[in-house]
Amino acid sequence: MENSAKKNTAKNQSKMAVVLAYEFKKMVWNKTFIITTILGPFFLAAITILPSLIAIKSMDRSNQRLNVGVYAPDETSRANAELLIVPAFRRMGWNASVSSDEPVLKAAVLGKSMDGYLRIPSSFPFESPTGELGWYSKSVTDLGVFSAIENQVSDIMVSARLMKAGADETYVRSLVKPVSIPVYKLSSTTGEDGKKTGTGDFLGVMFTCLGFCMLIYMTVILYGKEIGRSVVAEKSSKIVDILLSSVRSEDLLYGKLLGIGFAGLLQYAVWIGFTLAILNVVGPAFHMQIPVIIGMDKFGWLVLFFIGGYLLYSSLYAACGAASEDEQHMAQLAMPIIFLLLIPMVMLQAFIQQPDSLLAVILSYFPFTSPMVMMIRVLVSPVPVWNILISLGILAVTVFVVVQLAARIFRIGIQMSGKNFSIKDIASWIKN
Amino acid sequence: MLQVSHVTKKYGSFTAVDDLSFSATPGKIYGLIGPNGAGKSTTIRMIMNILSPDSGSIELDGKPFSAEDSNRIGYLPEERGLYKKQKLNEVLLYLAALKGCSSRVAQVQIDYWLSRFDILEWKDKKVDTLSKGMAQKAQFTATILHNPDIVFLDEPFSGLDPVSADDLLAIVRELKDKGKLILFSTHVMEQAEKICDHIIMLNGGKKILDGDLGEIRKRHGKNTVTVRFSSYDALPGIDLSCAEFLSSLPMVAAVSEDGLAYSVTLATGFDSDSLLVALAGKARIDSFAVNEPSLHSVFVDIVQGKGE
Repeated sequence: MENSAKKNTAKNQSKMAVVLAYEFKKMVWNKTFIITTILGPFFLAAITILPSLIAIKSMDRSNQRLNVGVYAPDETSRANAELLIVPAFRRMGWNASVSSDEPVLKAAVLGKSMDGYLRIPSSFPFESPTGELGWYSKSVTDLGVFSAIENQVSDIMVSARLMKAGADETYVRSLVKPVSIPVYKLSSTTGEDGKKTGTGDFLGVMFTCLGFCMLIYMTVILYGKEIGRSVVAEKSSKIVDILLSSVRSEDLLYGKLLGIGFAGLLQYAVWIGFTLAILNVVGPAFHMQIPVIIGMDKFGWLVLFFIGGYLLYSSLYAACGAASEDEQHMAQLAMPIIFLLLIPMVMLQAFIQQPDSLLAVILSYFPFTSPMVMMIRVLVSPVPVWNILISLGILAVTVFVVVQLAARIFRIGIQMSGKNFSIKDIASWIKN
Repeated sequence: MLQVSHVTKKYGSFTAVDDLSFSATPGKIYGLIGPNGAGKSTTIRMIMNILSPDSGSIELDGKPFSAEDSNRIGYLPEERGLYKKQKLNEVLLYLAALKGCSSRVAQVQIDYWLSRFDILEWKDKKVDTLSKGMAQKAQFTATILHNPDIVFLDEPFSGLDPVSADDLLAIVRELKDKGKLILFSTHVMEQAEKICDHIIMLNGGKKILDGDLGEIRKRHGKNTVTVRFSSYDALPGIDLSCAEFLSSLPMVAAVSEDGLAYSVTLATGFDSDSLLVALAGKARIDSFAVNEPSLHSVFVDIVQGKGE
């Protein structure tokens, strides 16, 4: 008896490491994991690069070849349209034609041979009675096109009115010359005073924030659920009795958290590595200009906030799993937790526009929302590094406390079979 | 040696195990028996350190239980289960690793036991494709593949067909001969009678009986013997009827007739040997059997206050 005990003790590796290795392998050798890991980089590339491209494209309609019509009701307005509007549209590279037959224009737009037509009144360009001036298009949401047309028509009409009032033509031209305001982003981390960025930058940042938040939200929920599910499965398959006869419940919990967590980190590493490869190797090799608005440091913060958010939420999921007999009940228990995660998603746009508002600042320190809200603030405004570190510190302390609580719930819950437990029951376990 | 001393475990106001003490030594099969809810599973869980007792102590070889001692224990829980979606071999390797067993050693053991149970070809199949009986055997493999010193078997025969049950029984006896301490828990007392050397009987969380199976039978025997003669006529030189003859003997308190067999209750102070001697030469005996009490009847007697 003694002999074999010694033999076993000598070979006794850390049981937590055994659980960790098993859970890691189980997670990584999984179709879903492999598919998401492979498709992830395209998603990440899509959320960081495409939005900028799309945003710039959609804002800057002057480079796009559109086919537009102008409806003029009579000879005078027709002449004015040919003289004033058609050249203006052509300057933007558009194809423009004037017609007095509205049904033909309408049919062309509906038949997609024309992108839209501008209807002008007979009094054009001096007056525009309500209802007589308008832009008719199949897509009324294309703000880029609409604002371009509005600007042009507005310039033409204002100039015409000024000239009618007696102003000199060149003087008028100098008055209505549009002013372009370049956008600069200040950054305290790069040390640069400011960098000129593209006009599509706001939308680009918005999409990047959305992407990063989605990434944290999805991975935290995905991995958290996975842990909760595996706990429920062990309970319902009764294998938990055998596990507990071999390993302490704490080691089982920590092994699971770390094993699945490392799988998550592996996935992030693949994604970020792939994205960086596209940006730094593939892009330059094909002389592609890829507008990027995020730097390496942002990826670093992303990983740290993922780790914190993951540990926080997945330990809670593990506790919920331990108190449940089936996945439905686990999902019910986890509901309030997910609500906390949803706050930043719902308020995303407000936070992007006002990253330093009181609510955004508070939630960027509140550990249950900080992984996402601080990430948004870091992306859109120059947050001092020490602020980020404080937020991470609060998150780390919370993780420490919550993991201990979860371990306590886990230890009791995992042995209690045959019943779904309420939050009240769980609270009594924590007290004991 | 396993020593359980004054262990008590309560769930709220319910006392699952009440001041339980017993000791167990290697090379024997111990039966932890009693009806459902007697406290058997709670006791086993406390010994394995899954639950901690409210009071009392559990020691292994004179030392309190440590986390490393779990490597010396093999446990077959009453409610069986393995990871359903995993391959059998992977699950067994994992469970062996959790017992501190290297994968090289574990693989040899897995192959040995699976082929002994005739399910080696299922090694790389997913667990949920195994039949119930095969899953039982796989689970038993998981219990013993790390060569534990102490084996806990909670209702090991439930759900097994008679042939598989006999196979399992043979292996359990083999383990006993190798000097393992086997603690076998069941509510089916007939099974315990077949296997165990020593019985610890629980009821309502309390120990009501603890002793060697033979001793218990002797102690709780009703002192009856069943005798069968070839025929009544084959009693030469005796004029009495068979029943009258038996009744006339000093060591016989009562006789009841049951076909050709007679159930004889011995008088106080006499044992079955004295009856055999008295009958020798006077009757042709076909069978002579000392009736042993069943554990079930012992249990009923104790619970009803007749025994102990």
